[in-house]
Amino acid sequence: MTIIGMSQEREAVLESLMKQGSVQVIEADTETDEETCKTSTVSTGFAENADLRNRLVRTIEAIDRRFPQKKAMFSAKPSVSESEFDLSAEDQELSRQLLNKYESAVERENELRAELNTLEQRRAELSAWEDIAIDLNVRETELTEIIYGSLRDQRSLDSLIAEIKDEMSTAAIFNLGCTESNATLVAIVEMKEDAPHLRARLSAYEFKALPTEAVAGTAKKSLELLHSQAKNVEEEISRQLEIMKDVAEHREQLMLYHDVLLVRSDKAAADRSLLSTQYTFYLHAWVDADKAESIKQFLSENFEVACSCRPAEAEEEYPILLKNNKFTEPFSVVLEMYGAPSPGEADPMPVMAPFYMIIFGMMLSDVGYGLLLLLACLYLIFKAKVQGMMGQMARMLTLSAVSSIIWGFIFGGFFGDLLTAATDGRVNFPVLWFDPMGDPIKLLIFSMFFGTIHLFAGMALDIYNSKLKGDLFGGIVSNVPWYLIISAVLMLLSGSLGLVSSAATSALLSEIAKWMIIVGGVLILLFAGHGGSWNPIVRIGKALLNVYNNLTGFLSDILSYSRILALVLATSVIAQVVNILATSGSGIVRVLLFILVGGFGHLLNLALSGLSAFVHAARLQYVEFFGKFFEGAGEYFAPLRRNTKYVDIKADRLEAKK
Amino acid sequence: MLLENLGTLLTFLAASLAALVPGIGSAKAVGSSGEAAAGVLAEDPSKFGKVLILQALPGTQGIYGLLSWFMIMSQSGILGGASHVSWQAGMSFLIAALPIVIVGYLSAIYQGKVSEAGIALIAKRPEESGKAIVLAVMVETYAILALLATILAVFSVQV
Repeated sequence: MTIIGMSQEREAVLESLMKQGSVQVIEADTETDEETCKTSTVSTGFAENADLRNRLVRTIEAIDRRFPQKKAMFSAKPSVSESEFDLSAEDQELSRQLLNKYESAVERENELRAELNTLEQRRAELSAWEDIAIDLNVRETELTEIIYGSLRDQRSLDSLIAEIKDEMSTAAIFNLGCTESNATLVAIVEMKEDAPHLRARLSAYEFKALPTEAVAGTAKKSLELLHSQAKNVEEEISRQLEIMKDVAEHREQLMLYHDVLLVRSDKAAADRSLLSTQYTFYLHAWVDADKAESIKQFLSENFEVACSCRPAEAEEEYPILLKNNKFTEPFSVVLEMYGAPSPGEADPMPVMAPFYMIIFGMMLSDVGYGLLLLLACLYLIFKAKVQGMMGQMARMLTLSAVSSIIWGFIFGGFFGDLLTAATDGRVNFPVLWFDPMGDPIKLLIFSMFFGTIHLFAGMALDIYNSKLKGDLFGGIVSNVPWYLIISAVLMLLSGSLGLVSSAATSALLSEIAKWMIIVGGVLILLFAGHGGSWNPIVRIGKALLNVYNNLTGFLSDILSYSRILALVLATSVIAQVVNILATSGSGIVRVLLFILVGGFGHLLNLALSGLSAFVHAARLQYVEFFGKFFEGAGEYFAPLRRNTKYVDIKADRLEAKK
Repeated sequence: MLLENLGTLLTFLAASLAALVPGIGSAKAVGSSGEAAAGVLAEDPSKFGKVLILQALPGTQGIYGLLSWFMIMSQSGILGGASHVSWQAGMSFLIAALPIVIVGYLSAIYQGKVSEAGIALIAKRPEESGKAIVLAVMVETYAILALLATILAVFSVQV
């Protein structure tokens, strides 16, 4: 879609396109003629906007940590109406003031706490001296100096006394008492000239001197003074906390402001993709084909624009928007995790979705687990009303849970073998087909057989893709020989695998298989490597390469499906172990164990097996299935929309702006 | 007494080695790939699906090992409840398990290295994830050949 409009309506057009959220603006091509068209320059407000948003995010996180709100785990974002989202300049200023208020309160609190720390330290130092009634401020007389401090223990004191008696006869040492930790408090009086020598000697005794500042008279008085100072600081701190709490009440306003800034920043970024002349602006965009007409009409009605649409050309790299029906759409999460189909490729979803559902169901085959999963997902969808990606996953898991229940009936699993274990074998859960624990080889063969079907579906999509690209013949000759050969191998093996019992059928199948292999081989010989030269040596070379690649490829792919067996058995075995534990003991212990161990164990198994099933079912799609046909070099449609972090804007009906 | 039960013991040894050694290899490989993947995701979380595949690829050898465990246990009849296996059969099972034990472990380790390199490739060029996957899958060929050797040998042991 191309839109040309008047410059003065540029803002408004961009705003309404953003509200619609169905248009992807194409980046401006920088090679266009610089004189007639110029893009808008990066505004200086960009850095300010980003800075404000960072501060808001940090503050909101800090508020959530300090004043956590009770929120349900899967609650939706708070929603605001259009008019609320349209913040006036005063409201924005108020929000900025709130932000500043909080930040300065935090800063002040940090300062105060540092102060409190120092006060606490001094208290700790002085507390040992509390009972000593000497005025510690007096540190000197005319000729002497008084040193107060503590020694480690009585022995240090004795050796100090001995040394002073021997070497420093002018010093006098007074034992002031013991503390609880056996340290002794002393006062030493020495002539001023000899004091430095004394201090030097004291360090050898681990002497801890009493600091000289902040002592107001006796220790007791100083301690009282410190105590009241600390009290003041604490009161200040709680005042700051009150301010913070007050701001926290208005946290939704901060969140709203953040989102307003975010939308503004996105809009500015989109604005840079617009070209402009003196009076007009010019905009290229990708649009969903279904919505093109209605958007065109809306724009023409509300703005003075010239708007034209055309379908994308085959060579253009258009972005991909997946459209599928209600059952297939939830599974597009799996595709989106991998990548986007290339423009021009077929949408693999309609084929992938049912296969994913079946494989997931096979891997988590258990009626009990399936029911739990189903209930959980239904709760998420209808009660908690989750949106976005979580909502899509919930819908996907709902369908997969139904599949699990079906396969649970087929393989006879209800919380593993719970009924059998609980009733000591009297009651058994019905098995529609066979129990994997009893006959794992059968399941192995079935998994690989199913895998072959999956691969065949992938090859069919490859033929379809080739047709879309105009090379139907090429698609057929590269895939049909392998259809023939793989089926032939299966037929040859059918006897030994036990699928066919009578010898006559076996012989017949072998004959047919032989011919299929021959036809397949001839096709490969003739057409491998996209035809090309008729040189027999090159032909044989290409054919051999094709055979080597594909044979090992198919072998590895089919064997890969044995992980279905592995996962089914893993789930069953863990469930069995949980059941053994949960049904041991007797009487009241048995009941308790059943509830606690059984409940916890089965929930854990559900989580583990569910996760494995999810990942491995996806892996089978990505590697084995997609490997047969998928290019996946596309990009997803990313329309210009209001991407909010904290709030959800309730979409009003489109209003006419005139 | 030991000689009587030697066959059964050797069979258990064969099966256990088949399940445990390739499993160790896969665990190491998937683990180190997971570390590389986490590093890439720290920069760009949108690449999750792509790095997840590459991380999961070296896990196949563990599954092949388990498969071999099954083959050995069922072929020897132990899974079906038989309690005696001749010592010749037990020895044969042990030797038959060697390909998957050794090649499973080593190919897993090396496939892990290719996976890590592939994850680094995706970090720079996310659109080439298909090529990265093909590179990693090439190493798996040898694990498959080893699995084939083990399974065919196990099936031909006379119990």
